[in-house]
Amino acid sequence: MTQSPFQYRHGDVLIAPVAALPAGAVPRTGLVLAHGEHTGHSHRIRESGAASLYVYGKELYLLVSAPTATVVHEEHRPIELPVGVYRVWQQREYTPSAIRTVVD
Amino acid sequence: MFSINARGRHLRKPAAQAPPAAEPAAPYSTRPPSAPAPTYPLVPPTGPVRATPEVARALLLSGRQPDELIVSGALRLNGEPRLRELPRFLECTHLEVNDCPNLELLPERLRATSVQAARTAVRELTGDWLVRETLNLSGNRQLRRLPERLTARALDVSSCSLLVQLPATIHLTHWLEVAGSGLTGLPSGLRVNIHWQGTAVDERTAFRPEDLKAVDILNVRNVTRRRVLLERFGLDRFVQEVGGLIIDRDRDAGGERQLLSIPLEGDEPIVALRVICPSTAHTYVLRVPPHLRTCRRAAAWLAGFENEHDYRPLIET
Repeated sequence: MTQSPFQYRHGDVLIAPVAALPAGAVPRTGLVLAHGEHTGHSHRIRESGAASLYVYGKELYLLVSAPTATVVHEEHRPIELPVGVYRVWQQREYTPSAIRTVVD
Repeated sequence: MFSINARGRHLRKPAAQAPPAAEPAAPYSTRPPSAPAPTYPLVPPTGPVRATPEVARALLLSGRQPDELIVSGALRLNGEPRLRELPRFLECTHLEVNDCPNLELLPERLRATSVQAARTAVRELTGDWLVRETLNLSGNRQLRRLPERLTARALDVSSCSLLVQLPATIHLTHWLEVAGSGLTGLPSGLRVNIHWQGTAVDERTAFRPEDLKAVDILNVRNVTRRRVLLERFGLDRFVQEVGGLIIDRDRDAGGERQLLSIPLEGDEPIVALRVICPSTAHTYVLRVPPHLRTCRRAAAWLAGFENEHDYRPLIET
C-alpha cells in the first residue's frame, strides 16, 4: 500500500488519509475506532452522521462525509478530521515472542 | 405445545406426544392395578441415546438432541455456528467445541477423556464434570462459573477474564493455566502447578505481581520465566526501578523522549521508547525490537512503519 504523506496520532490510535475505500469494504456499525480494554474509554467520532466505519479484512476505514468530524477520547485532546477517507489502526509493541497491538 | 427445558433457557417440544398408554404404564405407575387408568398421557422411559460420532454430530447440529447422549468416540464440532447447546448428560472420548460462537449450554454431567471448549458463548457451567486429561476453557470471555464438581488432570482458563473464583471442591492433579483470567487466588485446598502462558509460575507471580521486585526478575536465570515475570510486573515499573542506558533522546509533541536499553543476561536486551503523552502528561514505556537505535525509528516502528521516513505525524494528542 502506498504510504500516506502524513498521519494523525490520537493516543495509541493512528489515522491516515487514503485515496478511496477498498472495493468490497463492509460497513460497520457505530463510530468507535478503538476501545480501551482496561479503562472502558474509547476513541470515537463525536458527531453521529458525520462519518461511518468500514472493515476490509482486518483493516478499519473511516469515511468522513461531513466537512469535518472530531475524534474524541476521555483522556486525549480532540482531533478534527476533514472530509475524506482514512485508514485507522493501532500502535504495536514488541515482545520477544510476539508483536502485539497496544491496549490501554 | 412447548415447555421450557430443565435448564430454563430454550424452548423445546415435549419428548413425545401421547404414546399408547398401555405399554409403559406398569413400571412407572404407583397406582394399584385396580385403579382407573390415568387420564394424562404417559411419557415412555427413555434411556441414554448411544451413537457413533457421525450420528451424534448430525443429531446435535439438527437441534433435535437427546437429554442423554453416549458417543462411541470423539465428538468434533469446532467452529460450528449452528451449535447452541449440548445434551444435559454427555459421555464421549474427546469433546471439541472450540470457536462455536453461539454455544451457550454445556452438559450438567460430562464424562470425557479431554475437552476443548475454547471461545464459546458459555456464561455458566454447572453440575458434575469428570475430564480425565485436559479441559480447555480458554478465551471464554463471558464465563463466570465452573461446575460445582469438577475433576480434571489439567485446566486452562486463560483469558476468561470474568472468572474470578474456582469452585471450592475442584480437583486438579497436574496444572492450571491462568494467564489473563480473573482469578485472584486458588481455593484453599487446591495444590496444583500454576501456569502463565505455559510457563510454571508461583502464586505471587500469577496473582500478586505487585509483590514482586525488579531485582527478583533480573536474577531469574531462565529466559522464558523471566519474560513472564517481566510481563506480570509491567515494563513501566521495571524501567522505573532498574533504569536503563539512554541510547538516544529527542523531542516530540509530548516533550523529551528517550530510547532505553536494559541488558539482560542470556537474553536479548530490552529496548524501549519512553514517551510523554502530550494530552495526559503520563509517561509510557513501549518495548521495540532490540536492533532499533534511534527514538525516531522506534516511534515509527510503534506506529507500524518499518521506515522512519514513512511516519510523519501531522497532529499528536
